[in-house]
Parts: sequence; structure tokens; C-alpha cells
Amino acid sequence: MKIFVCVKQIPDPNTVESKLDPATKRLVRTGVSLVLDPGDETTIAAAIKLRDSLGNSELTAISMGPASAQEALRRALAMGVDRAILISDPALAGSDVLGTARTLAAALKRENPDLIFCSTESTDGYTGMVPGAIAEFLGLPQLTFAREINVEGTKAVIKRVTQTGYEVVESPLPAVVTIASGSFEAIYPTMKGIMSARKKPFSQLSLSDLGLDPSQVGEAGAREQILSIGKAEARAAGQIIKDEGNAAEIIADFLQRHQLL
Amino acid sequence: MAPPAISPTGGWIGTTIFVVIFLAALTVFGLRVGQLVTLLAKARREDRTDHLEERIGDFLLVVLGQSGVLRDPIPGLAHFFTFWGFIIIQFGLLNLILGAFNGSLPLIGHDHTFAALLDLFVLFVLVSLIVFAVRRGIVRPRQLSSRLHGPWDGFIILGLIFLVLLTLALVETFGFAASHGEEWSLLGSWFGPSFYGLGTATNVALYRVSWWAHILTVLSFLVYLPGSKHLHLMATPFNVFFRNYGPRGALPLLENLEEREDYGVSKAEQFTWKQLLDGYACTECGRCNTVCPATNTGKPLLPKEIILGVKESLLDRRHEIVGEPNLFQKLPLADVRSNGHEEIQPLVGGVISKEALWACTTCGACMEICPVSIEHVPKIVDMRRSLVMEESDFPPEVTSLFNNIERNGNPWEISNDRRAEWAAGLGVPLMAENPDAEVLYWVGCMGSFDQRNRKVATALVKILKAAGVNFAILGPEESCTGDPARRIGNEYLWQMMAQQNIEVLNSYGFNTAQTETATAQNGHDHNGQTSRARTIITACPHCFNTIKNEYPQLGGHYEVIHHSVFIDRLIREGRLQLPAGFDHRKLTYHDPCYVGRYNGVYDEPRRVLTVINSNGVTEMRRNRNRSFCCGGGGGRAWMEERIGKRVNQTRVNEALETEAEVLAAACPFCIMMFEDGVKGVEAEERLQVEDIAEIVARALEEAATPSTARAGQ
Repeated sequence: MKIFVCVKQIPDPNTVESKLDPATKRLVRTGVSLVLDPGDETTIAAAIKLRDSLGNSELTAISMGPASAQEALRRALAMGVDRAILISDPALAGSDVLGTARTLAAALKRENPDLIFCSTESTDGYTGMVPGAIAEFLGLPQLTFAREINVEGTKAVIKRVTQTGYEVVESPLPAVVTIASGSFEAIYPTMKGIMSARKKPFSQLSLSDLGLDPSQVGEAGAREQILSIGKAEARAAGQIIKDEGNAAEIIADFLQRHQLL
Repeated sequence: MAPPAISPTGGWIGTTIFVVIFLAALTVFGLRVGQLVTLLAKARREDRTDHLEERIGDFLLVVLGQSGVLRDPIPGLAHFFTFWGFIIIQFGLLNLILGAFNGSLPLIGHDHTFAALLDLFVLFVLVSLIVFAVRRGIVRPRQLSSRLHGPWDGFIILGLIFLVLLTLALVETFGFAASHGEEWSLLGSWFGPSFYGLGTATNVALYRVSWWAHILTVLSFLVYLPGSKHLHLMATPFNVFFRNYGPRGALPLLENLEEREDYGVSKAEQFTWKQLLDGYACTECGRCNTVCPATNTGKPLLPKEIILGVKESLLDRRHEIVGEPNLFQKLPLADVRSNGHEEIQPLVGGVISKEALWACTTCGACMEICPVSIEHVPKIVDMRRSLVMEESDFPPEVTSLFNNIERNGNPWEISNDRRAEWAAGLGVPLMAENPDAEVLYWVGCMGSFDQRNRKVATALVKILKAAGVNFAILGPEESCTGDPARRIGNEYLWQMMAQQNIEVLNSYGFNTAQTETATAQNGHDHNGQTSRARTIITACPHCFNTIKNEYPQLGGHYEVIHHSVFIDRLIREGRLQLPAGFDHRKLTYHDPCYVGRYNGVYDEPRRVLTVINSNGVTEMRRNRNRSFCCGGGGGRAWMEERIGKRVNQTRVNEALETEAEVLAAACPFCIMMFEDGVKGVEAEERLQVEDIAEIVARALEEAATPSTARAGQ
């Protein structure tokens, strides 16, 4: 089987204080430490697990981004992905959900994938819309919030996380699957992984390779517009209840007021 | 070469039979030892021929002087006499063997003094055997038992030694009786005359029977020895001779990370020959178990079982390692093990559990107490290396530690740009602002980011300023030294961090090797200043140890001093004026493993504390080189402690036993662990945890404003 996993390089969410550029109204991504999205690390773990259980399958990581995104793909290779594709083109700068999905879908289409893994959402933009758009561009079914994935014959079967438990959902292959966050443990690369990552196939594609016109992507092709940006209101200080014999009562009242009891 | 009074074999037929049996036993012994040596020869290479003069000196002291075992006086003395008795009995044995050829040893063969000495030692060994038997059979200290070896091995050995003594006594008794005193010996002269009544012929026959019994006992011992714990008798002298003379705090470097086939040890034969020799040399005394903080708090780690496990696994795999088919398989008698385990368990996760490997704090107490110089910690780390770098199999909480060190240069999810924030407003220059600073204060991650340890850093700055030291810090240019990564087994990450830090330190001209070369060339270092020794100080023993002892493996040679030593030096040089006896609180001091055991610093911190404190230092039960780890070393500070009692609480309880009000420490990890431990045993009201720098800084404040209330009053 040909399995793909879409990944993204983002400013390190753990150390980089998110800053917005007032001119472009976009997240500042230069001059900060960049990492493979930690959410994608767990999605890669899910894909590797499936690949290993299926046997005779190839797992490819695919990413759209500047040249620096190579690093994120190397990390994916070190974790155990077999092959990497980076789509990099100056014309892609400023792509919105639509442009990103169009680009990734175009690259995926050339590969005839059987299964495409995505994280539910990225840890920087949090739109959560790219996987759905990819599925739409490719005309494939999408399975969402998977916490377990199996392939049975020509079907993908997942356990889909719900508020109270899970439901079992299936679809014919090929399909797009999004992974519910926290369902898998990220893989810390072994030395063999790190060393072999340098030798694994790595291809870089430009827009012309994909047969896309610069007007369809990037700033030019964007259909989203950020109208304004503003600071989120700081959360008000919580209420501290000191127990003077009636704390339980106060808390119970509080919870009742918010219809939590 | 005077002939014996009575021929023990009774002629050439007996002698021929003796020669055949003797050579057969010798051959089996030789083959079995040969198998053990072959296994060592197939292991990894390692050079242990440096420091030859010290090796010889220590060999004499530890092997001939038995200094290692004598630290535990009762079994130590018993062992001392058994060891020397064994040597002397060898001469007696040689004499008896020569008797079969109508000869004797020159000089001592018929010497009464030697005969008396021999028998005195026979008596000493007999007493020792009683001591051993009582200890093994009645006292039964827990450390003597072993999961891998049944209880019988020890008793078989004691029985064999007893038989050797008994048959020797019989030989002497009947020799004396048969020769009417011509074959003189002390025991013979005591017991021989009682048998005169049996008649000479009977006594000669009994003499010959005893002689054969003695010889056969000794030869069975010889054949049994290579497969038993008494292999130590042959291996220990070599093990002591080839022990590590490098810095004790340095783990071996894993070379050529880019081109290696394996990373660490998952199979016994991947150890070096010296690491495997450790297994042969182990006497199974279990002293290591008695001092191990993991063993003592109910963790599944027993250091002795690590050493025996490696040996067990090596012997299990002996045929695979030597290659098939081999002599030892074809000739079962030559095989050091008769029983082949049907299913060979893997070394890691089989013979030795992963939980045992993760429980180690690398405190080094096991290596410190081992009488035969066995190196436990490097083995544990070697196996951790395989788990981390080959299997990516480690406690889950360690993943974020590795990622954070790699990405942020510190163990937390904090940008390293904020590394100097603790020093804001303290007037501490960065190296970049004060490149000529004579002292670099290496703050470390704990001092930089941990709220509690920032107070220690602030106190140390006060001290440095009061002493007028021209110092600076690196701020964001400083990164984690990699110590926790290395000790958890991530050698790759350690080398990455070390190289990065070495580059920074070298750029400021701290590398002593560099300075020496530059001085040799033009008397100036690369900054164009006159060369002088420039010092790095740090309050973190882990940073201290790895920069001092391990960075040289990657070409970084620095003069690094632990802050407790630096403060002591400032006081003795008169640069720091402290009010003597200012602190009246009862105080105890905890020796951090990487300052004490690994780097031999015991006196300096005590000297400093004794100046300030009117009561001096009240010692805990386990102190100095026997100090009991806080539980934070070896990367344990970053792992959950899920099994057994808490190591930190165990140590805090020992501090409480002294009734001290202050637990003085000299390590940020110890402080963190003890702060937790004090809360855990609910002793916040009774015991304060303070770094030595904090205590000194308070004394300095006292000196500046003598009117304020004295601490503890």
C-alpha cells in the first residue's frame, strides 16, 4: 500500500511566543526556532504503526513549505518514514487553506495514494480545514478523529473519537484519515533512524512540476482574507475559595449556576 | 631435593597413575579456562595499560594486602587468612606432588619453620571457614543471595576448602606416624603419635590414602573452579590490575557515531573484555547491593545481579560467540557450563530487566565499595544506550527531556534566550560584555531556570562580588551540558551539546590545551591577551563533572572548579571575610555523588561550613564516600519514581536522624530532590535545605550588617 502523511513545519509552540506581523496579519515564521508540528509527530507514529502492521507498504511524508521545511521532513524520515516530498516554490508564499490543499492534493494525485494521514489540525494555524479540502480536491472520502486505524481488504476502518466514547466508521480506499490528537505516542528517533534519514529518497517539487499556475496558489490565489487582528482578552482571575466550613456549598452553588451540576 | 621419608605413590605404577590423572585434570582445567579467555578475546578491545606504576602498586595493596575486603573487618580478616593460607598451601601441595617423584621443594621442603607456618595457616583458614559458614548459613546477610546462582555454590566451595584442609591434616598426621617424626609437621606432631599403635605398615597405607584424597580433592577443586564463583580467585588479580585509572566521573566515549553499526550493548559480547572480566572477577559478596540507593528503596535493581547477569548471558551465548561447531561443544567436559539453557534469554529485557537499568541513579556507590574494582555504572549506561539509541525504548517522560535539550538547550519548554533573566538587576556581566573575565560562572539549567536554584545562583553572585572576583556568565550562549542525556543513554545528544558548548568555551579562550599551544607559540592566547589559567566555576556537580572529566574526550580541556571548592579557596586566600561561628543552627552536609565519590571533594565544603557554623558539621550515618544518593542522578530527576520507597525521602530521614535543622547541599538536583523529600515526610518545620552558597551569602550579609539578628538565635 502507498500511505502518505501530510506534515508541517511550525514555530516551536513550546518556546516561541507567537507574534503576528501587523502588515501581513500573519504569524511571524522567520527568525524563530522551527520544528516539525508535534501533532504531526503523533500522526506519523500512527501511520508508521499501520505501515508496519500491513507489511509491504511504503510511507511517504509530504510537506509544503520553504526550504527550511526539509528539517521537519528529515525528522519524519528519522522517525521511520520511508520517503519525503517537499513542495517548495516562492509563489506558494501566503497560501491560504485553499491554496495549501490544492497544492498538496496535486502532489498526492501524481502518487496514486491508498491512504492519506493528516493531523486534525496544525498547532500553529488551527484551521483544521486542510484535510477536508484535500479530500475534496481528490474526490476521496474522509474519516475524522481516528484513534485507531485498520485496513480490512479494500476498506479503512477507524475508531472515531466521540464525546462519550468512540464509533466504528469505515470507508472504501483510497481515503483521507485525520488522527485525533493524543491518540498516539510520538516516536523518538533511533540512531539508525537518524543516520538512514540522510540516505532515504527525498524529492523536491516546484509548482511547474505539479502543473499548477502561480495564480491558483499563494497570495494570488488566496480566497481567505484576514481583515483584522487583535489581542485575545486576558482571562480574568479565578475565584479562590477559602474553606471556612462552607466551601463545598459555595462550590456546589457555583457549579449549579453554570449548569454543571 | 631430598626425597620424602615415605614415597606417597609407593612406586612408579602409582606415580604413573598420578601423572595421568594430574595431566587429565590440568587439561580439563586448561580447556575450561581457555574457553573463558576465548570469550574475552572475542569481546571489544579496550586499552588498560596506562599508569603502569600505579597499577603495580595498587595490585600489591589490593591483591596481596587485601585492602579491598578488609574495609569490612570480620569477613575481611577471614578472607585475608584464607587468601594467604591458599598461597602457602600451594607450596605445601607442590612439595607433596614432588614427593611422588621422590623429591621435595628446595630450601623449604624439609624446613620445620615452613612446616609450622603452613600448619598455622591451616588453622587460620579453618577458623575463617567457620566464620564464613556461620555468616553464610546462620547470619545470612541478604546481599549474599543471588537470583542467578543457587545457594549451594558457596557451600560447595567451603566444603571443598574444608576437605583440602582435612586431607592435608591427615597426610601430615599419618606421614608423621609412619615416619616416626621424620616427616615433621606441627599437626603431625600433635596427632601423629596417637597412631603409632597402628603399626608402620598401616600408617604408611593410611598416609598414601590421605595423600591421594588430598590430591584428588585439590584436582576436583581445580576443575570445579572455572565454572563457580570461585573463578574470582583467578580473575580478580587481573581485574584489579586492569581497573580504570581514567577520571572516575567519565563514561566511556562512544566513538564514530556516524559510522557505527551498533549503539551501546544489547548482547554480552558487545562489552569490552574488561567489562566482561568484571563478571569473572565478581566474588558475589553483594557489598554493592548493600549501598545501592535503588536496592535500598525496593527498586528492581541489584548491582550484583547486573554483573552476574552479564556473565550469565555471556556464558549462555558462549557457543554462538566462539562460533560453531567448536571444541567446547564437542568435548562437554571442556565446557565451562554443563547445562545448556534451552532458551537463551536476551541480555536486556531478559536476563537483566529494563526496569533495573532505569532505576540506576549512577551514584557510583557500588563501584566505590566493590573490593575488586568492578565497574557497574558504565555497563548500565552501555545497556541504556542500546535501549535509547537502538530501540527508542525509555520511560515516556524522557522524550520531552530529549526534545527540549535538543531544541531549547535546556530540559524545559523554555526558550534559551531567557537564560540570563535570573540575573536581571544583579549586575552580572555576560562573557560577551566582559570577555576578559578571569572566572566564568557556568550557571547551568537549574541555576538559570529553576525557581529554587535561582536563589542559589543569586547567592553565589553575592559571594563572587564580595570577593571582588572578575567574573561573567554566558547567558543564552550557555546550553545544557548534555549530562542527563548521556547518563540516560543518549550519547548522540550529549555529543551534540558538548560540541556546541566546547565551541562557545573555546571562543572565549578557556580551552587550556589551546592556551598552552598559543603560549608556546607567542606567549599570547588567541584574544591577544597574556595567557593565564582561566577558570570555570559552577554550582552544579553534574555540569562540573561532565565539563571537567568528559569534555576532554571531545577535545575540550578546561579548568573547572566546583563552587564549594572555589569558596573555600576564596576564604583561605583571605578574599572572603566570613564571621566565624556565625551560624548556630545544627547542620549536616550531604555529599553530592558527582562532587564526592566521582571527584573526591569532601573536605572543602566541610571546611567552609565549619568556619561559619559554631557547631561544625554533624555527620549523617552515611557520609563522604559512603554518602547515599538523593535519587536525582543518572537522569532519574527527569523520570517518575514508580516503584518502592522514595530515595529522596530515605536520605531526608537520615538527615533528620542527626536532629540537624539544616541539610546543607552543594548540588541543584540534591536541593530539588530534598525540598521534595522534606515535604514528602512533612518535615518542613524541622529541616531547611540550603546550598552551601546560600549559607555563605547569609554570613556575608551578617558581616556587612552585624546589628541584624543572627541566624538561629
